[in-house]
Amino acid sequence: MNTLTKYALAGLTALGLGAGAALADYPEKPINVVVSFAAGGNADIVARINAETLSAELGVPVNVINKPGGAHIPAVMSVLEAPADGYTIFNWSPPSMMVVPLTRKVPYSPMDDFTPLFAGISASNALYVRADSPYTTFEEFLEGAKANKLAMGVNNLGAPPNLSAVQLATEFGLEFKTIALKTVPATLTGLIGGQVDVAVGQVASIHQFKDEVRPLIILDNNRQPFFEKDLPGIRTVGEAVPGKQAGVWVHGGFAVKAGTPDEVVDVLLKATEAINSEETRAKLPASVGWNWVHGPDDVKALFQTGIDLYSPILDGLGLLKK
Amino acid sequence: MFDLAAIGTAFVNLADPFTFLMLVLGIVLGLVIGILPGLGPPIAIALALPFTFYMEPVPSLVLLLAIYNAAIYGGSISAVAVGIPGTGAAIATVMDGNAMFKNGRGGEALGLSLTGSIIGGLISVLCLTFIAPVLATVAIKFGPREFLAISIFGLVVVVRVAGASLSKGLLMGGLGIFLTTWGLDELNGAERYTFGSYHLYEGIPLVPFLVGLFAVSEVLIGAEKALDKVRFDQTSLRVNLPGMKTLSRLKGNLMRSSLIGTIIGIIPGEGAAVAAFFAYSEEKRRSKTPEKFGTGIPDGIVAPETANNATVGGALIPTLTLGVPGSPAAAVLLGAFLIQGLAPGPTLFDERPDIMFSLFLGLFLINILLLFIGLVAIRFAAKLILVPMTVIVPTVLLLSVTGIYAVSNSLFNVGVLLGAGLLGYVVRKLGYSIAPLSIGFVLGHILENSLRQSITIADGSVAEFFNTPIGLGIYAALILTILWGPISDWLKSRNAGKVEDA
Repeated sequence: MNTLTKYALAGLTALGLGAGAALADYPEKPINVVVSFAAGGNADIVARINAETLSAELGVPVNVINKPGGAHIPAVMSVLEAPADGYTIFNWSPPSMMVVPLTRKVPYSPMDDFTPLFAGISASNALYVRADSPYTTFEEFLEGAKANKLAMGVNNLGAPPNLSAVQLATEFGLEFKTIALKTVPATLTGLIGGQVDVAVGQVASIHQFKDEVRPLIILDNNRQPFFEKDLPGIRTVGEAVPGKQAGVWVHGGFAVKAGTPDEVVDVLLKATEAINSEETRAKLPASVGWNWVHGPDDVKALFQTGIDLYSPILDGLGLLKK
Repeated sequence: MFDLAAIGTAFVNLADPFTFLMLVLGIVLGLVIGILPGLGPPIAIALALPFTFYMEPVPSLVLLLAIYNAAIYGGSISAVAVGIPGTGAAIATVMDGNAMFKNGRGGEALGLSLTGSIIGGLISVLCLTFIAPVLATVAIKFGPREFLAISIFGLVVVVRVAGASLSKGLLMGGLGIFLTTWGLDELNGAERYTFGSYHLYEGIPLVPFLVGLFAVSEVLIGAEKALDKVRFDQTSLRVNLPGMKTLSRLKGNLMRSSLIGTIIGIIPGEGAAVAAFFAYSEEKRRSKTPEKFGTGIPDGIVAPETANNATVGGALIPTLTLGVPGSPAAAVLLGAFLIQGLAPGPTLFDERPDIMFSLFLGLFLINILLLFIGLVAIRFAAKLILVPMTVIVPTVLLLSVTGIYAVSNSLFNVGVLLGAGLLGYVVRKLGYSIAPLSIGFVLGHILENSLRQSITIADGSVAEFFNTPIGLGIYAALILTILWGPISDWLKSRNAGKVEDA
């Protein structure tokens, strides 16, 4: 196509040759992916890898835009304020889709305002002690925690590791002094440094702190495929003590604004399949868990399991929005 | 530990043309980003991170380390030449650096800050190479109670030196702390001063606030003098590296500031800005002529500049030996390691000594090349004084606004920038200093969190609250610094009395 024809086509489009033509050609301009975290963290790195895969599939640039801060709400609203045309994608995560809407009054509904495309990045929590801790098994830990009020390290109050700790305390009748240490790595650093006796980190956190921490139990009932890779031989709560409940909901992926035309959603669904390919997954950092769910209905069902899991726990903490 | 074969491999790695190219590119990129107000080392590294996905480990890590080092230094160029710290780390450099520049000794000021940065960088790399594991085991013992002690220490020390008057300094430090209480209470979710806006849920954002406080208020004050013609001697534009004589006079300062920077760098948290203030205040305290600090003297430039670059090596000590980042920039760097499939920690020394030595040697090389590339950069920077204020004021304002918007994509943050600029302007017009305000704002969060976490840990027991040997040591040092002035005065007057008696 020579330059003249290109300009002519651009002119025709500008003249309003209609949404129909634009739809058929989706995508014909760069797509933005809004990430509600600052650049550089795991969530951002994975979003960038996914954006790159999407760009290769769709043949247009896919730009990552970081909008951190404001309890993730400004990032969500920037997506919902943009037109539902598939050119603005939201990189959703547990705080933006689950914890924040459950605990605060927010101007959006995760279930009604979004058409989720997929869930990829995932994590389960595990209970860690220092490598030289007297507790070598989950059972020894339970005994110790019943005798003494241990200091429990979590990242943030209301975040999934804290909710796992609360669930553990409720199920086994324990009491902890809870210390929030901001991030999961900082929590495990605090554990190694002796600020807390026990900490909830992610299953994959082991790769960063190999020799300094000892995993006791996986705070989940459903065994995920990545458990054996990260924590070989470590039981889940359900496996160790049948009948006790433990669950965690940490997922993340892409979504578009509800009301995006079906044709556009179909193009995106087709293109996002490549994100689950062996080749793309090989690029992910070792500390990233993966649990693939594809398609709006299946991902929304996944959202519902999170709401069902966390509502009662948050309610027990007095944090659930009434 | 010193595996000769690995050291050999490291030399070969660094001699690779691509790695060398990345090293030079990293320095240039870091300098540019450091000079721009608002864009600091963590952002600089994060911007380059995606490009390293497909590189080999050594060039990618060398690129990021070069950016980190150069960005911290770059901040001081704008601090000296325009009075605007390009990064938080350069806040303390503004006081004497810019004063000297305005006194018509710009070339000398820029030369001193470059030399100080290089020496601080080199000494901290030496520490990193030889005593890293020992230092790291102490640093990791820093928990809430120790952080509480060090942030109280930092606040008191900085407030005492940053302003002319203690009461005015305290007032500004307190205002800074108050502003950090805005936003969601991190422990119970209560909304504090959010005024019903979700933009304030996470409080007043740090970077726009600090850039506004310094850069915007500076251009507002500069705008008032827009018509003043600066008279100066053309020879002051010549960049002067300090001679051996000057360096040997400053050697105590250089050593102390390097050690302060390295040690504060090791402690996880906001390192570079705090280290620079600590070094500055320590030199002012030791000086026989403390009243000259702030008027543009070499000691006042060398101390903060040496210390802030020394935090790079310091911050890498826990990052490489424990996998615990010593600074926000080192946290992003840690991400780069993990992408390369390398898990920093004690085992990395055994598993990949070649990579470790490539990093150490790379850091030496980065600091040496920074001297040459920095010299070119400051040749241009020195000429900035020829640019009339009518050009500088709008340019700096434009760079600040676009910089803040580019990082956050948020107009709210631009509003914070302008609001903080007005606040800084009013505060300075009223004769108060913005340095204690900024340090209160930087330390306020750490202070509140560590205080409340310490209370949780103590669980009602005062003895448990103070059951921290490191913390008690810091409190003792604090009491000594406060009392040292009066005590030495008293000793002097007693001695003076004796002489008279005799």
